[in-house]
Amino acid sequence: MTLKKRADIRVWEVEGEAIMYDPASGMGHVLNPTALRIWSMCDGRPEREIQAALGRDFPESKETIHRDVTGAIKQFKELGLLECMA
Amino acid sequence: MHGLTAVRQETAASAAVFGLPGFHFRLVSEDWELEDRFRLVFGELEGEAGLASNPHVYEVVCPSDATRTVLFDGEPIVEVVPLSSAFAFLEWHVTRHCLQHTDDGIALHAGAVERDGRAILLSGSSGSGKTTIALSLLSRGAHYLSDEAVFVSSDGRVRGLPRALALKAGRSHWIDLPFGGHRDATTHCEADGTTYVAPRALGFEVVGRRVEPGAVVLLQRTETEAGLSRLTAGEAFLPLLQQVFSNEPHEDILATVSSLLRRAPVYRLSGSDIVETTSLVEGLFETPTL
Repeated sequence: MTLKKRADIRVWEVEGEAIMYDPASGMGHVLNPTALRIWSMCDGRPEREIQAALGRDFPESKETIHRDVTGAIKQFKELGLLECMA
Repeated sequence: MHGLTAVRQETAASAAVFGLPGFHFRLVSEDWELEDRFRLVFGELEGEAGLASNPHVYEVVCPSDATRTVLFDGEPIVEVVPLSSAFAFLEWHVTRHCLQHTDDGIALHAGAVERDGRAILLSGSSGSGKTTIALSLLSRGAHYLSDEAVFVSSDGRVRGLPRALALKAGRSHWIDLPFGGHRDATTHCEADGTTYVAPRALGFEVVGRRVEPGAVVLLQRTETEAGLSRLTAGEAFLPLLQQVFSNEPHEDILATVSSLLRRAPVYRLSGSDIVETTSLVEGLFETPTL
């Protein structure tokens, strides 16, 4: 399954973190630097590619990366922020 | 003095005019004391009057010595007794109207003082020390924007809601003020447990223009030693959002708060000693990030 950001979500980056606004729900969210990095890679690629990309950048933190990516994407999905395409 | 009072009573209801960008109010009152209090509290705004073409009109009528009825644009909004309650209600209504209907960005619950063109915002809920620390910084040479609210424009710059300092009874406003304890109707008035102090009458300069935010300080009254810690934008965002006068995180609000966060670092201030906490905040004027 590939993951893609919904086009109408607004994101403002501030010093490596971000504030996100979902106009459909009227909710705002805060992304820490890790979540922002994962969000920025939700451009249509599958989850395993996001994990692999982060693993290349941070080879010493592979286990943490797996947990962070899985957790962040789960939250993005639960909040309805992604378009999931088979 | 009696002669003056008699002359005033013979005339028709008087009118005080006050305003700030986007707002223009007239107070038409049969009650001279009430009008004088209004001039004191919102007098700082008089220089801006006339910016809006159609003023909102408050009318205060006195059905009896003990009763004041207040109308807003012709509609009765409250019947109150005694005078102090009428004044407190009017002060609250004007302030709330400005905060809810501003087209000058978003309204943030924060006091603010300025030095060298940069403002330090003091944000926190009622009782957190906005007025006390603002007053303390004013006595150290800072200039006054507001002790209650600032308007943050979409580019992140700020303008104060310039009304008189409101010192609540029982709070720690024990700063030595330059008037040396002197009080009269031109510098002070009291209503419902609040003493209103006109900053200009005390020699403090009032800044009405929009200024660059130098730092935002989130006030957290604690019994611990005074301390100042820098927050990340993510840590600061939600506490700041809670101080915006709006119930909904609209896109414009989030964008404006983001602009503010880009322009100014955010700190959390803990402690309760006014000298120590003021010194920490004052030090922010000297930091290179300002």
